[in-house]
Amino acid sequence: MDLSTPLDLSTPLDPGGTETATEPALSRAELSLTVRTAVSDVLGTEVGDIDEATDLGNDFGIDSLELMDVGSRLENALRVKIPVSDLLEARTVGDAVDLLARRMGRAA
Amino acid sequence: MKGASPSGRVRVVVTGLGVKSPAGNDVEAAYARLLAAESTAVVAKHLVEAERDLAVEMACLVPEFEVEPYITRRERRQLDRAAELLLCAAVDAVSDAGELALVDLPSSRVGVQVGTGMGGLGTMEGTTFDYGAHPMTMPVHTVPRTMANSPACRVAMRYGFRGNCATYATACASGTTAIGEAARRIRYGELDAAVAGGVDAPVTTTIVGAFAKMRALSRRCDEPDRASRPFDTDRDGFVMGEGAAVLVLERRDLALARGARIYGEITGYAANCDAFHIAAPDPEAVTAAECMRLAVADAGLSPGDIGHISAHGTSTVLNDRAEATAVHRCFAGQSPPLTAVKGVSGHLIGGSGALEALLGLLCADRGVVPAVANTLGSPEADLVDVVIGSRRTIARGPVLSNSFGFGGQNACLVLTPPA
Repeated sequence: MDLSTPLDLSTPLDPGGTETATEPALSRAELSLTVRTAVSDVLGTEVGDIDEATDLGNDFGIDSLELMDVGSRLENALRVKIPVSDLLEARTVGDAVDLLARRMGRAA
Repeated sequence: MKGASPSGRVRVVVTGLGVKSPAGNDVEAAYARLLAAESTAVVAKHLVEAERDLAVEMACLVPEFEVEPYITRRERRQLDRAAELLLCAAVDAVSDAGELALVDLPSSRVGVQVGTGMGGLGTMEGTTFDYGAHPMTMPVHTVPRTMANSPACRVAMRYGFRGNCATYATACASGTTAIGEAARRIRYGELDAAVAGGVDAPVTTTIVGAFAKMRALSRRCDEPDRASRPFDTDRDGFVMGEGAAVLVLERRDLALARGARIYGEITGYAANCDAFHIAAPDPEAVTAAECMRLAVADAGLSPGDIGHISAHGTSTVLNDRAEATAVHRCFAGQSPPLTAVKGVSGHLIGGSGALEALLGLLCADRGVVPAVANTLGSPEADLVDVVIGSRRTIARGPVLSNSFGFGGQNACLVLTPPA
């Protein structure tokens, strides 16, 4: 109904919430692209405008709701719980990718 | 009081206009469409494609326009359609008034006053359809996107206007209420300037269905462009519309001092309530007539001074008949020429009062009363002077702009062109 919202990553891959472990592991590059896509969706940029050195606070003045939005999109896309502390701790996009990789139990 | 005229009254002028409406996305386009008396109603593709078996699938929609020049992609993600339309109309109005001059005023002396009947209801409807089964997957910005005061607060944020920012819900009278209350705040010395207007984006399946369910909407679905016909013998309900209209109001002495272009003056305002029925107007229309009388008196005028009336004129039998009765009472049988914008624009709910005040002031200034679109003959012709067939030329003079909303909400403005 809402015509103004572009498609986003927030469609859950597993809407029933029954976690399965059959997902193939994401490579570091894939994980990075997922994070950069979520960030660019929230900030209205192109994915190419976001790299791992991008500092969301200093470069974009991201606010706390936008940060939550990034986190929520990643939770939906990756089916992983992301604590608020992780969101606040990650200074750059690269930091966030590293943290996520650890949370997902895979070496970065 | 600061800024008061010799009569002791602080005068409030209109210095900027902006519209995003079915009649057009700039002021002159909307005015031209009104004068042409051509309806904008169409079959709404998104209502048809929803396949919800709606009894009514026509509406008056805002023509597509480029939003990017107004709103960044980043901000747009956080706005719903109502906030977007209102913000774009406000940007036009502020630019028209002179953005630099407005942001130069002390920020605490500039306010934002917006009326909306539905607020973010349509957006919450979409959210419910999309995420209702799994609420924790809904977008993080759902609350700020759907709260009723978002449109007003987005305007305040855009310009850093820190004066009173309020959102009014008086159903179909909301836009009129916002302009009247804004003018009062300037008169009372609370503000020096205000961005004031109304908006709604109610063309959704649930909202249209809800109005159709109460038989408020026209069923002339095979002829959408003939459906909205205020005061016409064959009217059968209103046509839902969407859109926003915004006026910049300023204390007259400050506007004159900065050499602002002045479209006219908000000279009178009144509001009251039928306290009769939650949707139907009181057919005796004593309270609505009193509202008109109070607005005219607030302007320091007599009914005979009113050059024309921009009626609420929804094209429902109940509204139009009660409004005609009220005009007949207020003007003691001497109705000035009366027109109704909704024949062209449909009913923008909270947006209508603002759009009609804006267009009414232009008509008052240009000495033209447009014919009511689609209306061929009126059973109320013995009560009011409905302008039918072709536009009427009149002497420049004040316009009475009426709005009546569900709940018995009555709100009337008097707008006077510059001398």
